[in-house]
Amino acid sequence: MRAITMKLLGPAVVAVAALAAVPPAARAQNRYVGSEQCFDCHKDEYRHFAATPKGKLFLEQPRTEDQKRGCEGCHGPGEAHVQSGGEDMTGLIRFGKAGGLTAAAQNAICLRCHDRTARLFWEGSAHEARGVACTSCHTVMSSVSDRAQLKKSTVAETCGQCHKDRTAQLLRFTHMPLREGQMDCTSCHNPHGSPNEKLLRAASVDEVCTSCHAEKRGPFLWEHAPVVESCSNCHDAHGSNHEKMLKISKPRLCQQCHIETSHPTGPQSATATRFVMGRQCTNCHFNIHGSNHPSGFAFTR
Amino acid sequence: MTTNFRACALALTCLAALAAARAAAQQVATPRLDGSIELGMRGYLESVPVVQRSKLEEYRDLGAGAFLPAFWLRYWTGDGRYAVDLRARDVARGDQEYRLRAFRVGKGGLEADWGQLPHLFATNARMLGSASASSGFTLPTPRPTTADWNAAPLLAPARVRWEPARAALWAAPSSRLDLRVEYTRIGKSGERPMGMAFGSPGSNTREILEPIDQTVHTLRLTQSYAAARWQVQTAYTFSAFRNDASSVLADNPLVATNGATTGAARGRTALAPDNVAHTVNVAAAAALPLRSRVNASVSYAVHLQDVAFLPHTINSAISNPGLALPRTALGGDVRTSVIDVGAVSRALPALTLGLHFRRFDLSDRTGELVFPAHVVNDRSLATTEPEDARRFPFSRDNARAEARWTPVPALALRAEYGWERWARDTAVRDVGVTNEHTPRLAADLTPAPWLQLHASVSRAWKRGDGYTPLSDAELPLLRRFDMADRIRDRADVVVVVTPIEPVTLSGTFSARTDDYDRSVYGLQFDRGRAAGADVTWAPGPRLALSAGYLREATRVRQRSKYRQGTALDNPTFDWVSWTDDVVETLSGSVTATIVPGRLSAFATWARSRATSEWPATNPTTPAGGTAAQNTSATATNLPTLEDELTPARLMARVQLARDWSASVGFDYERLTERDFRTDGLLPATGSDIFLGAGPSGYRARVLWASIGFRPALGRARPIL
Repeated sequence: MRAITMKLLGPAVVAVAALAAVPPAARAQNRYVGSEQCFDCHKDEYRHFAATPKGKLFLEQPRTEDQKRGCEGCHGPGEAHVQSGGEDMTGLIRFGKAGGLTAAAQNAICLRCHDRTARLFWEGSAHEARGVACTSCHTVMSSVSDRAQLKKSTVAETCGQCHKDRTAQLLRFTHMPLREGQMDCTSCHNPHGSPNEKLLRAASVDEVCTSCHAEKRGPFLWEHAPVVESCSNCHDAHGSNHEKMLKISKPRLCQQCHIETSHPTGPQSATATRFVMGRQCTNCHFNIHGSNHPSGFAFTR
Repeated sequence: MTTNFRACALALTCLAALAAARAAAQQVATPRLDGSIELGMRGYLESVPVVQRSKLEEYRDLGAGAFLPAFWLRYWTGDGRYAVDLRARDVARGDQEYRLRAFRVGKGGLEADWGQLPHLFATNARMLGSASASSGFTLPTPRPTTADWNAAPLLAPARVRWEPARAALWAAPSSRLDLRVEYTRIGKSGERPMGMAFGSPGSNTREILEPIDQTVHTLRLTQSYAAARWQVQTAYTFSAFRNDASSVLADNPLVATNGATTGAARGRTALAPDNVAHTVNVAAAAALPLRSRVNASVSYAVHLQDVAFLPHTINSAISNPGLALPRTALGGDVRTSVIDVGAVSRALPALTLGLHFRRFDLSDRTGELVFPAHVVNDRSLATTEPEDARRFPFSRDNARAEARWTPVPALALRAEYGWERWARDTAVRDVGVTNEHTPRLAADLTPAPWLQLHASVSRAWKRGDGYTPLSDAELPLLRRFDMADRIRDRADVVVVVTPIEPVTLSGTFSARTDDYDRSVYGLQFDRGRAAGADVTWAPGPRLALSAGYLREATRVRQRSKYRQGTALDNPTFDWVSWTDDVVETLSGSVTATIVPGRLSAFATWARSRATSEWPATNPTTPAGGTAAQNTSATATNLPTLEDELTPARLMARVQLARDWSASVGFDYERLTERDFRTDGLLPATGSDIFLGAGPSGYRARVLWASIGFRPALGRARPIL
């Protein structure tokens, strides 16, 4: 079935992209020669690849025509390359910058198989639109990371190749435990595309956050409107120099909205005890994410 | 010691397993085994006192002694069809993690993870009295004096331990169909600081520890079917939150006898109620003619909560017919629905067109609930105004159209137009509808192989259909930032230069401004600038260096008015404050291969320094109120907050033999912080009682050494 799928899947994108890089003469004479030929010269690469799950699939347990071609399943027919003693690269699909193929053309090779599940929304996604190649983040030929055959040893390092500001935020005074390796960027984001904002894994910021912080999901008897609408109204989940990953410190954060009467409206001095010391506003308004107490409308119970 | 013993025992077990595996592999040539183990010892050059470890070990266990940072074992059957993979990290430590995978290549498998994640909140908290799950935080009568509180003993570190566990089963019965079942359980136990207000006398508060005994269960079923030109996915997620600590009790530190107006001897706070959520999602994508593709996603979620209410108060001196609960539980029922449709077309050469529409709707079906009376902080009865448990439904629509044109391979131009509309219920929110329009332009330019440029700029206008304050108590000209009119500017520039092959330079600059141009009071603007540079240099195959610098500066301005008693609109009581944050991050690393295949060295260093200033001023000197009011309305600068984190590592790795390697390293981590809100905070401050806890600076200097064993198990064969 996969074979039929692959035949039907030979979309214009793949064909045009891959074949455009191959001169007509080379295409005409290029045929598949088998992975044995590759091993003769590329022993180390072959061995590294063979030890990966993808290597097992392609070299030992192929299910599709592409997979049965082994190395050539991704790199294209190698006859011209072999016959030229390795000199002629024109018939080959090479990944990375050196190959000269566009990111879209390279990605099309991967998407022949990986076009579903987490990649369903790849086309049109932020990374696809910016010309990110699969090989920008993944390396197929060896195992560098524990999972997902990433180019770097961790997800955070992989994403940090481009998102340097986020990497810097991991060093902030309050941060999620990414630096400690207890979660990673993909805990919240799907870098392969998502129908949701910021490539989030769930339909809203709140749904992402409450998948772990379910105690803040509610519904509560007394709701706090900004909490219902988005955790990111007050928090910066990538890290902050303020307590609790807040965008700015309390009481100023709360005072951006609360100008009714009495204590929220005062500028407060450094000696204003409970309004600025300790936990500031949440010294009393502890249940600020919502309360289920009948007298908890001010989130103090 | 127990941890060390367990780590050693596990290490020996793992080593024995690897050795046995190696022996077995030598006898049975066909299967393949891979594995590695690392075992080490860690010691501090000078101990870091427990009271300084709250940030050092916030999310990790860095105790001295033996440690087993990594263990890995993978078994492949001889035909390469099946594999079992076991990985472990920080074995027997408080941040340990284990992962088991067994799978048939390309067909299916199962996965199981378990780990522990510490979250350390306070190591220098102090408290008097006793605590138990049933009676809460109790105090002797008469209540302790200020001196007693300030001499209170240290508590054990306040921490919450997360224990996430996951089991998943996945199968690909055909090349078109993928099925997956996944169950996740997150257990959380421990305690963390929380405040409880008593309101008497002087609206006092007491900081205690929230008992944490929570579990999150999540079951997720997913299915994906891929045909030649279309795919469809369905998913169902069930999530249940259970809290075995539904409330917490604490004695009032100032009052020992219940009174109807003088305060309560104890207070009770509700904690997060149990809840469940069901989510169904269907997503599909289809390839269309002319190199086009359309995708869509529809989700529907139901969030329910129906935990029985606590009574209004535990103060036996307060009673009133109005305190009878109108319902025994909320019957909370919130529904969210999401419809998302997108299309991408590359019908024309060099041109990519995209369209996207999304609608998110939150409807709250919880029945109306009005409380005719309530009790303020277990202290006093309030019957003057019924409290309506308001719900906050809203919908949010987004649409985006974009075009990307690549006239030549070296240039890509992008134009985008985005629209966002929020619709809120004006019965509970100040603004009904806001519309935001965002045009955006971007360019990617590669004029030469050694130069890449990216630039983007956007401006967004957000406008509402009228701001109507809901409450008479609210300052009429306040504009809450989430609903206020706003002009948002964004600009980004990225430059990557590779002047010579082993050197890469990159520079980034970004500017963002949220200008709340029609807000007289409230947030006025939020501006940020960031600039950074990175350089990597690999002068040879044996040496690589990198360095980076990023400076981020933000300024937030807000305006408020002190309003007290009858002085609600004194024009001299206006005050303005800023939050000025500057964060500088420096980093560098060196990787050197000193003897190829034998000796390598690695060094990394980073520094993140942040300052936060809080200037505040009155445009006009406060006057016209009482002396106390004038003083309260006078704005003064709050002290600057500072923190600086410097982590560094220097290590060397030696390949002792084919299977054995050794590493030695020196880790340095230093944190300095200055926060007037918690530094030196006495338990008895004013009329309030604090734990007196706060983050502390530290300097940790750690020497460690480890030995790694990675046997060449099985055969490294060419599989032909």
